[in-house]
Amino acid sequence: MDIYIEPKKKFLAEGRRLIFIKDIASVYCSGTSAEKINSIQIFTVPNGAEGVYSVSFLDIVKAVSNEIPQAKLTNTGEKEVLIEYKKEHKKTSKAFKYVQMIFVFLILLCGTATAIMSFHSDAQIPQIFNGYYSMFFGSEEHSKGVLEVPYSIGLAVGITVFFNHFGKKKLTEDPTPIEVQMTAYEDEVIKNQLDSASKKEKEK
Amino acid sequence: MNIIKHLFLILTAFSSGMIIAAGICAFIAVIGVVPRMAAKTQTPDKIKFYETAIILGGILGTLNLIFKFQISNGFLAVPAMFFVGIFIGCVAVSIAEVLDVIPIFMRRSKIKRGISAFVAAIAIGKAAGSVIYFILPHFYKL
Repeated sequence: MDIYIEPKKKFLAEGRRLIFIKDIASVYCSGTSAEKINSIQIFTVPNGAEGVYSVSFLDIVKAVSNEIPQAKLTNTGEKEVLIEYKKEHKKTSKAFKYVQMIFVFLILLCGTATAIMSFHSDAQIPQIFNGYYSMFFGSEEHSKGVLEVPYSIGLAVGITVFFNHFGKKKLTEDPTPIEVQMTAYEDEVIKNQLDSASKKEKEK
Repeated sequence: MNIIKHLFLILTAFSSGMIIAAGICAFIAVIGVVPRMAAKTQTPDKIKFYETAIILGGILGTLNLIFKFQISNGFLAVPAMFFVGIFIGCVAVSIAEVLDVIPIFMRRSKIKRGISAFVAAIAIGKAAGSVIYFILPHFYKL
């Protein structure tokens, strides 16, 4: 009997110590026993200790062959599933979340303004503007704005194009650069947690 | 002739702005400060909101080249500088982290434990350095 299993990257178990296959993977099989496979218990959180644990595809194979000896499993997903166990469902209030969001917003707003100004003084942009002006007109004395205004417009356009949106209006359908970074970061965190979880299991 | 020269000047300045903007934003995006903040506050779905902050911050910082902003309430400087400090702190540590200084030193010295102590040491060291820089004479001149 051919069974196709697609393990997920991560499963968050809140207040439940028994983990079944249906929690951590999607299952397809040609027979009618998908229900039976789904309800196989794959993992129990030891001592109810909060933390991260890993279940490998091999564990799934072992558990399924215990129930159905003639099963032939094919993995179409992840090799290891990260299980994060929490004793109870933690809910942060919406107001607190907004406070956090505004906090991050202000950090980024003030920080980026400082970053761009420190770049300007670091790279001596005003001097470079003087140089440009004398390149065209022979003297460095220029009214403020000839270069600064188009430069600022260019900077605004550049930032908007780079981040691919202004406010909520998106320019194209691509994800924005930091959204891409966010996905990469989350993947790295899962990888690292899996690493340390399997290290801990080996030490035991 | 003068108009053509001015047009070229404007074009040069505009292009400089676009390229520099992309450079600075790529720096902030790649260094990974924002994903960390979003993960810490559990708001990874609000990335666009944070990017708007970066866009506005970049524009504000540049407008400072043209207008000298005057904010009448001087006390606003306290929270503003607090936020700037957090941002610079995150970026400074991110640079060290991206360059893999800490992992390489830990591997070379074969120390396996005590990352938390090292991180605390870095934080205290940076804060002490900042205080010394601003308070002792000879370091900081306006």
